[in-house]
Order: sequence, then C-alpha cells, then structure tokens
Amino acid sequence: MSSAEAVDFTQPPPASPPPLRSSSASFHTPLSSPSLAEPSLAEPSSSLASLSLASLSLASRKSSLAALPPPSALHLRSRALSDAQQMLASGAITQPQYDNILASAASFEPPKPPPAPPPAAQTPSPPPPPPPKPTPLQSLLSLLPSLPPPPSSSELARAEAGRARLRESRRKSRLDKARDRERGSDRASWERLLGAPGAAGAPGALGAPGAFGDGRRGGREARDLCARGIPPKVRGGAWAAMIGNGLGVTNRDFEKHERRGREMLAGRDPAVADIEADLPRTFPYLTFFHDGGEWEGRLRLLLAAHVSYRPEPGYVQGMSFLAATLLLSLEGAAAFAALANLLGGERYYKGGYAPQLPGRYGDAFEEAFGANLPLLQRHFEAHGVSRDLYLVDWRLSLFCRALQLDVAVRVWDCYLREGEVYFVRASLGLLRTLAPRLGQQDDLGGIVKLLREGVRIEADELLANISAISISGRVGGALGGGGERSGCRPS
Amino acid sequence: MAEAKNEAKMGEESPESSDSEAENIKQFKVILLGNGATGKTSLAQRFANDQFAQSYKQTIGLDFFMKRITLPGDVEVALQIWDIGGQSIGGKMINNYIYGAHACIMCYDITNVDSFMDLEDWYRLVKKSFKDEKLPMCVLLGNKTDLNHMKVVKDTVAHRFASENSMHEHAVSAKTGDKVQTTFYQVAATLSGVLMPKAEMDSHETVVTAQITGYEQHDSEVEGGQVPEYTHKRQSCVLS
Repeated sequence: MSSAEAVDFTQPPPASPPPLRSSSASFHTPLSSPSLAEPSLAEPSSSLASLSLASLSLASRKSSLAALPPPSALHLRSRALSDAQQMLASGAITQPQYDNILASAASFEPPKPPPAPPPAAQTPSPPPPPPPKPTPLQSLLSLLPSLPPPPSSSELARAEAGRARLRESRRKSRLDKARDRERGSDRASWERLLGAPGAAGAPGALGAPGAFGDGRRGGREARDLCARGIPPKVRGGAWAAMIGNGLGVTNRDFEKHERRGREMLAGRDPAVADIEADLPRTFPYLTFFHDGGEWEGRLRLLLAAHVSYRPEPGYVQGMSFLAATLLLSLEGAAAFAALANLLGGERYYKGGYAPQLPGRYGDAFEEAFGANLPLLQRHFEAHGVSRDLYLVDWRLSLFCRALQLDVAVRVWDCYLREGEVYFVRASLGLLRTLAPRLGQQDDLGGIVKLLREGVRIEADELLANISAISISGRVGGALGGGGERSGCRPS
Repeated sequence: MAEAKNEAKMGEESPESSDSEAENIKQFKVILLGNGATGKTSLAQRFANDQFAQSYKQTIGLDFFMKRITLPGDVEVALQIWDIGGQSIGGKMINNYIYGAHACIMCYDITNVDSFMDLEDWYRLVKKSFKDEKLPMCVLLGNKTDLNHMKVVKDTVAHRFASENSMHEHAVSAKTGDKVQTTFYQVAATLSGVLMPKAEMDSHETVVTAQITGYEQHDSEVEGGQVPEYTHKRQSCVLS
C-alpha cells in the first residue's frame, strides 16, 4: 500500500473517493447501494424515458397498427400498459387516466391471426390508408399524454439507457435485500457470540459475556463482524461485552454513585459545574439531549455518577460525547459500567484521559505517521500543524466531533474490539482519507479547520483507509500492545 | 457568505502567491486563556469569521484561527489566534503555546464569578511560562455583555485586577459582536505600534452597534432595575 499515492499533492485530488482495495470491493458495493437504488426508482425521468421508447415507437406505427400481426400488437399493448403503470407510480398520470387506459386495453381484441406471421413483419410495412374507425388500441394510445414526434435513433438509445438504469436499480435493490439478510445473519452471529440476547444489558450481568469473557476478543469472526458494522439492535450488548468489566463495577456501585452524583448536582458541587456547561455543547444537533427532558437528565446523571466514581480526574471535557454515544445504545447500570471501563480500564485510554497526550504517545503517533503518510507529515510540519491541534480532540471525543455520528460509531465498533492502538490506526486512516483535501490547504487555519470540523466521509471509505494503515510492533507496544497482527479490516 | 469571502481571501494569501509580500506582513501570536464556557472560541470565531454559533463547540485541546487585518497607514498584520481549551490549565503542553505569545487575552464571563476569580491562576500560568522574560501584552476581557442584566462581576473589581497587573481592559459580546473587532484591532495596533485614531476604531464597529440597539429594545429583562448600569455601559459605546 503506497502511502505516497494517498498524499500526492502534485496531482489534483480525485473527484471520486480513492479506489478501494480489491479485497474490500465486495464489502463496499452492497453498502453503498441504498442511496442509489431509491432515487432512481422514484425519479420520474427514468421511468418516463423508458415509457417514451414504447410510446414513441407506438406513435411511429400508429397508422400501420391494423396491419401488424397480433403477437406484435399484443406485445405493444402489454408494454404500453407496463409503461402506463410506471407513469402512474411516478405521478406522471393520474389514477383516473390510468383506469381509462386499463379499460381501453381490456376492450382491445387482437385481430385474427394470419396463417404465418413472418419475422420480417417486425419492421413496419408501408402505411396503408388510415382505417375509417379507430381501433381500440389506437384509442388507448390517444389517452396517453401528448405523444412526441417519432423517435430518432439517439432517442431510442437514450430510452434504452433509461431502461438499463431501471434494471440496474432493480438489481441494486435485490442486493440491498441480500444485504439486509446478511445483516440479519450478522445479528444472529452477534447473539450467538454474546450468549443469550440482551444478556449484556440485563441487570446483574455486568460481566463480559460470551466470546468476550476473560479478555478474549471473539476471534476472526468478531473482527469481521465489527468491520462490517455492528447491527444497531445488538450494538449496545456488543459494546458492553467488548469493553468488558475489568474494573468489576457492580449494580451496587452504580446505585451508590448515581445517588451521590444526584446529590452533587443538587448541591451545585464545583466538581460537576463543567458538566452543566458542556451539556448544551454535546451533539448540539441531537435535540433530545437538550430539551430538558429525560435524555438530558440521563446524560447529566451518568456524567455526575462517573465523577463520583472517579473523583480524579473528575469530569474532563470530551467525556460528555462518550457518555452520550454510549447512552444511545446502553442504559442504566450497563452504560455506567461501560463508561467507567472505557475511561478507566486497561484496554482504552492508556496513559489517562486528559486534555494532553500522555508521555510517549505523541512520539509513537509521529513515528506511525511518518511510516504511513510521510508526505502529509512533511506538509503538516511545513505549515506548523501540531498534533495538539487535532489529535487530542479526536482522542477524547473518539471522533464524535470530527466525524458524523453514524460514521464515528463504525470506528467505535472496531476500536472497542481492538483497543487503544486502533485509535492511532484510525487517526492515520482519517488523515489518509482527508489527505487530498489537506494537501490543497496552504495555511494553518485552513488545515486546522478541515481537521477539526471534518467533512462528510463515507464509513466504508474511511474503514478502507484505516485498514491500509500499518502499525509497527514497536509503535503498538509503546501504545500498549496490539501491533500489526490486529486490524479491523473489511473481509 | 461572510465565511466564503473569508475563505476566498485566505486562498489568495497562500504562501506561493505572496511569498515576497508575506515577509513584510507582521504576524502576531495571540492566545486566548480562561475557564471553559467563557466564550473564547466564540470570540475567535466572531473575529475571524464574523459569525456566532449558538451551539458552539467546547475546545478539547487546542484550536487555531487566523485573520489578516489592515491597520491605519496601510499596515497589514496577521493575527494568529490560539484558542486554548478551558481545561488545559493543568496540562504540560500549554506552556508551549503560551510561550512566545505576543498577546494574552484573559477571558472571563461577566455572569460567572468563578471564571473571573480563576483568572488569577491563568495569569500565574502566563507568568510561569515566561519566567524572567518580559511578559506579553495582557488584556482583561469580559465577555457576554449581551447578558449585562445577569452581570455579577463588578466593574470596580475588574478595574482593580486590570490595573494591578497593567492589563488593557475590554468588555465585549461575542454573541452580538459588540466591541469584538475593536478589541482585536486595538491589540494588533498596540502590538505593531500603530496609533489607532478613535474614528478609525469606530469604523469597525458601526454595524454591530446597530444590532445592540435592537437587542436592548426587545429585551424585557433589561427593564428589571438593571437599566442604569446598561445605560452607563452604553455611554462608552461608540455611537453614543
């Protein structure tokens, strides 16, 4: 995997995302399809395009219809009907109009079959004199909205292209269904890995159940499942299981600290003052966290309970994002145990959760940066982009601020399985994804803006870039284990 | 709109296009210090992009803004605004960012006493970072003057702190934009030794002040016995 390719600043960045590795292509395609399938089905223009083929070719033969052999006429009728159906679906004609068409079509009687219809009859013969009385098919045609002039070959080609698009979108929607079935089977796999469904969230079961007990990581199967994205229905349980409960948090702890947290909030304890300041700034766009209702209360209480559980360092900015993200999948004691273990356990945030990077962290990061993205690293050095300007933010909020939430949780899925080293891998993967855009920025302000405010990135593109990052065993060791062999990558 | 314009301007200023020019432009490092939620990021955003986001972000770690301005006499300067997270006070990295600053803007929230009291600690941090060297220009900045009816930090107390530490003093509102441009222009002028005539300073303020007038009229709470102080404040306002 050439890192130079990712940060080639001499070339303008590609308009489309960088090509995925072939191994991940099959992973990528089905996931990207839903947005493509929906609009083209609903889009009037594409169905109109294919309609126009049928109706246009009908129009050109209007006068010769009587002379056509029945198979062809019947064929045209069924095609006109299917096109009318599409027009109805797309809103191009109204229901009564469609009913009229149906009625006319029903009254259509094919002419008596001639003894032997030659295949050459497919091409229209010279038009005979117009029949005195319109045939039912002709009256059917007259009901269709104003027919355009006879088609040229390019129009026919366009219409054929429209039909091809329709076929493609139908194929995609079949793939979508296949993907849904796969997601369903992912869910079943998760339920098997985690033991009984919902066990992780059940009270009294704060341990690490199933395949993630005793520090196990669920093997290759779990790795692939995480890379595909954990289905939302099992995400809470999977997260809780992967985070584990190395601290041995019990239900009793939860009740005690929740009570103390409540008291601190009521007494306006300075230790919880920053929580109040940060609540309105945590996922501002998720309004249910800010309407003074149940969810805001849950978030406030979870953070206060954690301050009570770990008075040192207390509330650190960034925690509110982690707590809120956990609350979207977990609740009560399970959310509390997950937050406590995420922030204070062995696997994550080695070296502490603080507004600066711990001791060797920065050096390890720079070493991995230089090994994977040397040009971008030089670009950063040339413009004075210090890692303090982005890495601290990314680390403490676990990408919840730089990435869209739906993309960030995909990173979480892998991070929670892999541990701290995955954060460095993911950070470099994100830099790799942004590299073409970063390369265009020529001042510190522009680079920092891009790094902190982020851009819309597709989860699959990001994950493919993350899997292209290699972390040496030495760097992995400095970050607390988990070097090259791990790696949540799409299979 | 304003943002797009700003970005376009930044594009023009790329080192390649103006390498020779860039050497003539003085760059000043200005750091914003103070507790969380005092509005440091909002101030920087207001100054650099002339925008205010109600749902602003807390600064985790460090943030950076840059703006080029023209002072009287066609003196062009660039201000690098380093926005330091309110919780960074205990961290080690912070010394790197304080050190070498040309100006330190010490921010507090006029509706929050703690944010003012804690400036002592922030100031101590500045002094520690500079050790025996000459301290940078220091500015005491009270933010959120749009919430003047909730003001709890007394002017006299702020004046005393400012004069004891020979700081410049300003009161601004990042939300309405009141005095924000003036403050940063003043800082830039002082740093580059340019005399800032009052009329020149006011020219940066006109639009914003008009907004304040509207705000005052529509704020029912101002009438709750707080009017005198607010009126008093307005006397120092550029339009009155």
